[in-house]
Amino acid sequence: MVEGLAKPALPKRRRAAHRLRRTLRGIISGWQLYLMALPAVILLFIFNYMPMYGTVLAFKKRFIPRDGIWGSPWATPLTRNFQILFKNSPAGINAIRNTLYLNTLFIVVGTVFAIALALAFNEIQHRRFKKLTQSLSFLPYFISTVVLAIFAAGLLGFENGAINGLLTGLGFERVAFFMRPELWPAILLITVIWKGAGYTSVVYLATIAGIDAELYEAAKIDGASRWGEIWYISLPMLKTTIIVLTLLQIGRIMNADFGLFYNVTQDIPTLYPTTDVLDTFIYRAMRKTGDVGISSATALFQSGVAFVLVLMSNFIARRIDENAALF
Amino acid sequence: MTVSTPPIIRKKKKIRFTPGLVLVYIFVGLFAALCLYPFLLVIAGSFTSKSEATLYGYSLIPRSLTTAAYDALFANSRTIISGYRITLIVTTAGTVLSLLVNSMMGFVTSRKDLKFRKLLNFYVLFTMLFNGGMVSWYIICGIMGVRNTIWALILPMLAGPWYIFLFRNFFFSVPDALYESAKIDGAGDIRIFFQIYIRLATPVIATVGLFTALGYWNDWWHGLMLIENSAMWPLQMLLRTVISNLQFLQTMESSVQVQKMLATIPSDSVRMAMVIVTTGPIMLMYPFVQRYFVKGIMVGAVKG
Amino acid sequence: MKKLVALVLAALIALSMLSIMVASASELPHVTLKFIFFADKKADTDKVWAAIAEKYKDVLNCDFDVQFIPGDDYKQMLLYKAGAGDEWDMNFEGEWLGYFQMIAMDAYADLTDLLPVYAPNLFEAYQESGVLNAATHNGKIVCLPWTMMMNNRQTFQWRGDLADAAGIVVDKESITTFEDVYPILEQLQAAYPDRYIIESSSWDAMKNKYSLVEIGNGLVIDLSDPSGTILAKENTDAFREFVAFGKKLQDAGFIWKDILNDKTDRNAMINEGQLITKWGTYEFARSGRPWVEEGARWDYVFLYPEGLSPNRTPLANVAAISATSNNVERVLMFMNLLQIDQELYDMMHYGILGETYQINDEGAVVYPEGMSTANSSFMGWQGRWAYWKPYFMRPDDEFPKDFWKEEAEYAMSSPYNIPSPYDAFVFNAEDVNVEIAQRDQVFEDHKKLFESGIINGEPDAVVDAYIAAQAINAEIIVAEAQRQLDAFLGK
Repeated sequence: MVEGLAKPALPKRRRAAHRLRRTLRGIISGWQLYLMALPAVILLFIFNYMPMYGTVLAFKKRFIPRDGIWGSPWATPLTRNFQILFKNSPAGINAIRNTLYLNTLFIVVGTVFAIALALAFNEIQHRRFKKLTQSLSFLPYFISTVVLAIFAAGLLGFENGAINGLLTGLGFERVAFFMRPELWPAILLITVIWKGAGYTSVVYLATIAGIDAELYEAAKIDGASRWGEIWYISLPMLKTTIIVLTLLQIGRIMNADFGLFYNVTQDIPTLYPTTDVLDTFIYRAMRKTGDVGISSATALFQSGVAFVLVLMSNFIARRIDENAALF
Repeated sequence: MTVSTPPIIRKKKKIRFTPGLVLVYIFVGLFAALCLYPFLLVIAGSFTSKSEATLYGYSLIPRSLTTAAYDALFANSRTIISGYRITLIVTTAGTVLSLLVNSMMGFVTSRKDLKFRKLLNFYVLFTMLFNGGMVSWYIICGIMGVRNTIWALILPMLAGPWYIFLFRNFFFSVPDALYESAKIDGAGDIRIFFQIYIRLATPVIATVGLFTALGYWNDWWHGLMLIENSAMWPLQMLLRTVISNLQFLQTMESSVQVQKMLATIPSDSVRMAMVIVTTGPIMLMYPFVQRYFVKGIMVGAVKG
Repeated sequence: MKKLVALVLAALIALSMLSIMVASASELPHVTLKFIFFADKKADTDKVWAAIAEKYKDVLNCDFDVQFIPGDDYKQMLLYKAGAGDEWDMNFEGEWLGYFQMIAMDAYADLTDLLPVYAPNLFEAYQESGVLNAATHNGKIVCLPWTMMMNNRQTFQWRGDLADAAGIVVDKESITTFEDVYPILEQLQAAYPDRYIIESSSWDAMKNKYSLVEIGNGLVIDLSDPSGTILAKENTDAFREFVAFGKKLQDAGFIWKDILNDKTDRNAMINEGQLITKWGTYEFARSGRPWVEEGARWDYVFLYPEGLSPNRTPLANVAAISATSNNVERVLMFMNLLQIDQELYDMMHYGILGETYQINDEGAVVYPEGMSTANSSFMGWQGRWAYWKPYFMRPDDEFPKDFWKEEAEYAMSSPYNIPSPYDAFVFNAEDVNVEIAQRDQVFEDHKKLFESGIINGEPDAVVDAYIAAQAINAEIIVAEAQRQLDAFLGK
């Protein structure tokens, strides 16, 4: 390729033809890559893209199987199903606000903690201790939220809870945890971190493991302390991974872990002001009627908001690190 | 081009315990203990009898041990064995195929000079954001002929956008020089991928492989939705059925017969037993995968 | 020549007779009937159904493909299957499951013309007991209801032996109201401060007091009101009393503080003797419990016996035939056989004599050696309720002899137990689906608080606030429902 020379001014049709030929050449020369991409493309098409026509249910009044998804009657007005969140619905607005706030909290604190944990594991010199603690950190992931709920009740109960037992033993007043909504963002945050940190830190650990050892050698020769090595090598090398994972999490920012919110809070109404999220809100509204139009509308709303947020974040991410941007 | 790990020289290194390092050890140790303790509670709980749970709650050392929860889970021993078999097949095949599909796609999307790369990236990303809902997914699965076959348990989870991005992220860090020199040697993309990139990607493969295997192992949802014949259900689905039915029985008024049965089967303990049954094999497998998170193959050794 | 003609004639006659015989045997084409049942599939299920197919080969000429869906997922899975247009023949259904939603989707077959033809005995039985009304929707019969008779009037139940031991005198005749129950609770708590007294207030008892019947979506109708006026339930005096009583119980400490987050199984608590009173129905008041404490005895009284209480709807448990079924006639023939054939009934419910069940000296059905409810190979509680025939039911471990006869007798014994004229009314909610969803959500938000009396402030004020929170939606829904009900009643 001769670079640096200005391209001659060709008439428009010739330029278009050039571009077409370049594109075709690009496709043909990359044929092996396209082949490798084919399985994923086909699978995603079948199981993700084809069912997308179901979103139209968000605009339907009723689903009649005989008429199919397309033939079922339209809602009047089209946006009627979305009204459940917005019309006369302080609880709906509250749920949206909680979802955004709590998920952001989880993403930020969760990421910091997972990175700290990964870096800490990396520092451990005793091989056995390292392997052991790392395996143990994985265990909370397997404990289902229902089982967690049982323990939460045992821990936070007013009469028989372990924490209250401790408090009264030390001479303090009992705390009615399940009556105090303001305590719950913190409680849920602790639960989320405890449950996911081990799992997420594995990704960061794998990235750290891929960092060239020569970089650390060079830094040591230059006299850097261990802390300096972390700050100037490990973290920057992790930057891309951090951004990618954060972007992916933003994609799910409007979806809450239903099991966590429904079970651990025991679905106790006094806690709804701070712990009610979109998924639990819709669950309560749908328990009797199961209206598929309303649940589709909510899902569409969740996806739509997340999509916009991802687009915006992706734009910012591209400015920081070209590679980290998702597309 | 061969890749080799440097020999492990076990030097007796003196560890300098700076205050910082001590803090690190304490932090890690405490966190690990906090992860272990509830799990021990779960183990203890799974052996706790219903009456003790009702009267005294769950504690680390139960007053009396009983295997009632496990008996309930495995009551139908004939089907449990077939469930194990199905799960093993699905997990192995699914993990291997999934690693292949996702790593290839991750590689393709990491090649910056590929035409339509941005489009492919967006194609993958979009599926993570938008979802057509259960009804249409169920209909499509029916049309595709996936239902009531073992492929119902494997195919829907095969392509994982999250993992594709993880692979892509890793492949960015591989120096282009390797790719260029291989291209000059006349190798095609496919060969470059399998001979170079895969070999370097051990940590990521271990990570994604672990997560994928976990996903297949824990999955009961696809069995419920897509397979009618309970002989083809994976282990998790069979276990979950026990819990689902116990749950139902508990919420309704029931006859003395059922109550007698429920009196001996502590449904909460059954849930805990299920956690143990699920985790057991994974925790046995984990140490083997773990070593790949420690120093991986050094890129430097490849340049030769 | 004559001989030849005779021979040919004879041959022709023989041939035609043969062909007639062959024709009638293969008149019914062989089909496979797909059934969907509730809960888990036991080990010998396929074996039993194969035996049924074999036994009734000549009459039905079919095989059975029996599928089970777990309890918690049953309703949702059926909705998906119907939504996708899956083919199956018959499934178990109930108004407490997804019956109304399936009806709204037109998922069940129209049996109006076929029922009298292919299931004449069943049809006759239905006509006699008058349950077809409930099973009719828009003029079409859409399911096969059950024919059991029962009434769910509320009782107050308590540990009689503990009351006796503490010297508490209970005059059963005189206890008919909430106010009468209160002193008993008081005395029980004084005598047994370490046990849990009661779990909640009782909305069902209040419904009995004011003769209300619930028609879904939080709407009620006064049974004694001939005009059929629909009310939103929170607007009734019944609701206010229900909430006020709950607060009273909570304030007095009868309902324990951790009630909302205590997930312990209540039945287990009662059996262990930890919880000593309960609200409940007649069926479970007298069906016995696996008591842990020696000499435990459960006493009960009916509350508000002069309030009208509706009999259990025939839609409680039904057998439904899918609109996608190709074998509606065959299924009806099967159900007809079930109505009249004790052997088919035994096989369907108990299995194969000697293998999956035994009959003991008293004529009761028991498990074979080594089997119990938990690991039985066929028998069990798994949802075959819709297929119960009271006259065929054998006494078993679950229900002693004549249990259901007594149940039906009770239902008919009181002039205040009446069938509800609104059983068949199906409210088409599509135009008010958002309002209903919002109202349901507000109700679910408050339900637990009302039941357990954990409310902030005076009951009246709290109820007023609750009413205000969704008054707009309630108005819209009531208006729409009333309009449909009036049309239904033919006004």
